[in-house]
Amino acid sequence: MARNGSQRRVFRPGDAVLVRFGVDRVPATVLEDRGLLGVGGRRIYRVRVTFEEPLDFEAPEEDVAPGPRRPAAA
Amino acid sequence: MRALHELRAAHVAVGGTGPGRRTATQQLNHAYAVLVMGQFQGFCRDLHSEAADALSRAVQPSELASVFRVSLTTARALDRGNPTAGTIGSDFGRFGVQFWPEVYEHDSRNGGRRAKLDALGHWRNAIAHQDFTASVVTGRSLNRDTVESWFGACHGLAQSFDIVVGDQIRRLIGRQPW
Repeated sequence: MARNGSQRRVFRPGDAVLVRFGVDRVPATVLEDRGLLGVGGRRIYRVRVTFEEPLDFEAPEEDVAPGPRRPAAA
Repeated sequence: MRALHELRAAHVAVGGTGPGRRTATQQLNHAYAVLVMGQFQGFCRDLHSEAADALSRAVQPSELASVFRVSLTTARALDRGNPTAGTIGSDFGRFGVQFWPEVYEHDSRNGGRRAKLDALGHWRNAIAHQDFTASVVTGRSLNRDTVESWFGACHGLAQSFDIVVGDQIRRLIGRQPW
């Protein structure tokens, strides 16, 4: 295995994100920062998309975008 | 890796011949075995993630690549359980390789190493669940030499896995992935 890259982490476990899923971007939750395991040292996240059942998979950082912010607690 | 070295140092530090030493070293050996298994699981997961990214990155268009990536990394046994021979074979088999036959072919010592991985898995479960009734562990103590031989086996397997998976990804995408 190769290791390089030094990008800073953008998302943390628990963050709400949008992740590329086929032709769409769908809401997801970051489960794990897998580190700089991707091609050229790009960061990989493990995310969970919940349809009828949770679906966990990995996505490179370029496929992950910030999700809608939760409304502030009253 | 650092944690493994620290645990070995702790083992050496528990010196003497007093009655408590055997109990203390036995607990250290248990911790050592669990740590070896955990480190090996981490290696296998990382290797799988790296290979999945290299393979899916080669797929065009990017929308199809994302579908491909999901199928490679969802419901991966290595994310949930021990890196047994079965979970390793099924997870890496997603890359279109008959994994263990390739691993055996890469190094003739890997059959023996797999047997040691199996033994480590039995002990890891017994230790983690504090259930020593399984026939392969019952009535036996665990010594440091045994755990170190498991560590050596995992190290050897890791080197072969890296080469076997890298070669398979190269065959699929036409270039060396790492």
